[in-house]
Amino acid sequence: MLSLLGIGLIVALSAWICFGGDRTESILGTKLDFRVKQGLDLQGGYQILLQARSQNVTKERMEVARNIIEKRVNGLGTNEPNITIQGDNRISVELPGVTDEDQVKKAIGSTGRLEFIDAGTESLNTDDLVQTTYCINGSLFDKKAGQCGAGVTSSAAASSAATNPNAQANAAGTPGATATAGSAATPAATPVAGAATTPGASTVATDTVKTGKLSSTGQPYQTVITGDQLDPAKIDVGFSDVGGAQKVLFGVKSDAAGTFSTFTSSNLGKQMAIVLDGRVISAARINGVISNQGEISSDRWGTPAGKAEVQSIVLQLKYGSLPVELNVINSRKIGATLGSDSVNQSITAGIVGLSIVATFMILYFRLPGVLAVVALLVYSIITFAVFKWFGVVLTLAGIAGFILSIGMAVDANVLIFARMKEEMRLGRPIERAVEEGFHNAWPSIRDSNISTLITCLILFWFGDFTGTSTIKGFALTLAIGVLCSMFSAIVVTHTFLRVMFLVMGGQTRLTSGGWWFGMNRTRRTTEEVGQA
Amino acid sequence: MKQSLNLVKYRWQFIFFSLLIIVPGLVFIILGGLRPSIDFTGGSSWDIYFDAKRVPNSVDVEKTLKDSDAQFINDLRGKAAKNQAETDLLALRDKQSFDAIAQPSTEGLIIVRTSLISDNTNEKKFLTDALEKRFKTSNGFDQTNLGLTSTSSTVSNEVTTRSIIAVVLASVGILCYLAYAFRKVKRPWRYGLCAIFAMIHDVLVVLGLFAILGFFFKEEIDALFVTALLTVIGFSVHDTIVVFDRIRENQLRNPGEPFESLVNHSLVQTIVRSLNTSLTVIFTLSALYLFGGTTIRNFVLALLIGVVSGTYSSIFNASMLLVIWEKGEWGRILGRRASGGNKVAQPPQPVTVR
Repeated sequence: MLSLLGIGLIVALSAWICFGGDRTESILGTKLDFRVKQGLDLQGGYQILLQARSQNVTKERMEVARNIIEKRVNGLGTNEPNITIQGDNRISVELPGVTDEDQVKKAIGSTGRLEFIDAGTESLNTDDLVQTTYCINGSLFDKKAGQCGAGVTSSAAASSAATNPNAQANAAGTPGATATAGSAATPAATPVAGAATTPGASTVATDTVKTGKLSSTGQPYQTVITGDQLDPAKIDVGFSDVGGAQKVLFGVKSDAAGTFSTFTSSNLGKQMAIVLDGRVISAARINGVISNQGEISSDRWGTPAGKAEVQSIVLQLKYGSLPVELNVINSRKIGATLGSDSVNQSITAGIVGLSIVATFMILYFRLPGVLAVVALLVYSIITFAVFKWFGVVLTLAGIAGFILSIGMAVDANVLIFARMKEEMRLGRPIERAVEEGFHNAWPSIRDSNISTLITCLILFWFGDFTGTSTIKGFALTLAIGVLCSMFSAIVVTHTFLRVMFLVMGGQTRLTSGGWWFGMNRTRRTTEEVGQA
Repeated sequence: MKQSLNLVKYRWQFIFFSLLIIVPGLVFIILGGLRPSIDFTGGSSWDIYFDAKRVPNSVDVEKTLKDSDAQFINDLRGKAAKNQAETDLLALRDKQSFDAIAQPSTEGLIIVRTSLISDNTNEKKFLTDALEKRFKTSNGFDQTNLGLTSTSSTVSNEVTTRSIIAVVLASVGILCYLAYAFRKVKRPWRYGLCAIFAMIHDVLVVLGLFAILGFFFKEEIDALFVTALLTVIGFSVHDTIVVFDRIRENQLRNPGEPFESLVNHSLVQTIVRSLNTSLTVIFTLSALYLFGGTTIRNFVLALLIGVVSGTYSSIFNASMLLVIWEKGEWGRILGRRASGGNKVAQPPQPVTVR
């Protein structure tokens, strides 16, 4: 009875997870995400496997590259992108819902845009999306490349620029997403440096949809220098004299040092921020004149978390653009319509499959069959709840794995019932027959499920190298299915049967009523002779 | 009355039936019926959807792709400053010129297999634009529905090696597990090896049938196919275990019983149950095959064939091999196949306890 209560609780919990729709919940302060995560093949999108061109890349560089790609992808506004490092030199990028080639190029293009901006008296927060005056062309592959990209000298110049339709058009992309073309590779885009000296073509980002923050004057933030004017050799982690807190050291190349010192000297006490692809990675107050050597420190950086932050800023300063050159070695684009068709077809297949199995079980095993079908429904709900709880990404093959596991879940029941029937034929009371049935069927169930789990493990490993989530998805859902099916057969069906013989009286011997257990009386002279 | 059902008696016939399927399959494998997809060979595969009523001629699609790629490559050669990826692409095309083979599939869909389209240059965009220009208004081509998979040789080589390793690993892993599970029985490795034989049987059946399908209908095998194979391996053993488990149990229960009748006894006891367990899986797979959509249809078909074969082999091959082995009939396979059936009809000999 206690286990029946337990099952009831588990089912109630699972049903609550399953049937409340796609949502997030917070329980006891933990945020739980109960949304069904659809794989690429179910919603369309891009999947790309990138490999570093050079053989010797460090783990650190790959990690930085991954972070930068992730930041850019987040700027694209796709839902649930998935960017992971695979092996030593690969990055897998999944962009569900993206069907536009250009957006993909923006995400994985080789370089990013690092800027030091003038924040005036504002203190910007990390991760703020801002518009800056420095703008480079959106993509290496964009034919219109090279038209925009120079600093604005003053607010006045910026406003006059706003009336220039040409400049506006160029800046229409979100600052967070425009960062691809290598600034170093685009000489046309370099005359930025002189904040006060170089009156260049001006640019104002006017995109109304995905704009970043404007400065307090209503203008884009003034870019002081860009990442390619930093001296990578001089960027490092330093230690401050007091308290051992860490700080960020950076150097400016000699050609930009003049600009930088002019800027810092005239803005002492004001704010400066470092921006990567339009997103603030660090903001600081200018405490002294910096020409070719500077440092950033903070009271917060004495803690372990602070150390990580310092490390992260140093890496981003060093490799503002992607620190490794990446090649696409595998790509997959899935059309959106195909995906939604697939979902509906899978649901139909699942329902049909479940119905046939249920009909078969009831016709063949009768009363225990009915119990098995109930157990099967319990199984389906629990399994689906597990998928939702752990955020298993459902792919087409994954759903196939789930539906397949429905067939396998009954499997264990069939084994148990067949054993049970044998025991009953020998004239054992129901209770004994049930217990013996379970006892005898257990080794087969265990062995066969372990062999499937071994297969799943190997599949998981295999899928890791194909660059697609399809195979892994199948292995994962099948494995979860197998584990839940063991639970369903051993605990759920068992409990149901126990409850049944409590109702019927456990000591009943089946002299009549064998029909309910799918026994045909003519078959009673069985092969078990000599076993009893 | 079931006592009279002597399955073991027909062991050679059962094995002969398996060969009836495996041998033609092997012939078609040798004839090159297995068509590896780009997962193994590298290249690009396009799923191009058109308006079902206005599907263009395949040749037309091929020509559009070939012409526009030639155009793209030509433009690229003329370009002054080429980046690394572009130089790489030109070298690749110099080595092997661009090829495209179109194959009409389900309604409105044409699948085109081409040489590897470079993701690192503008090639992909150029070709899709060309398709759009040519087929959008006249045939209802839509870029957002285009499916395109590109696999470089780096990845395809890896998938190939990993596939082989995975199959070997699965076999070895399961063999070891079986040997462990049957460690209390006499000669556990023999059970393991017979299960492996049954497994090879199933793999050959699936491979063979797909070779035939590939030969006549140009069906391809991809990484998902290997996934299906690996799953079938798991299944095959799973089925075999049910039968072997009963033999193990009966052996402990009736140590004196002759092996041949012991196996027969166990088979009769488990046959209905083995069929039932497989049947439920076959039901769900059939539903998937019929209603589950085209994308995974071949994957499901491979699983379906494998499960049916796995059920057959565990009942009619694995245990039969155990008997054949136990009776030392291996030596007779070649010379006296024809008379084999009569030999086994003799009353079972008591097993000498060793």
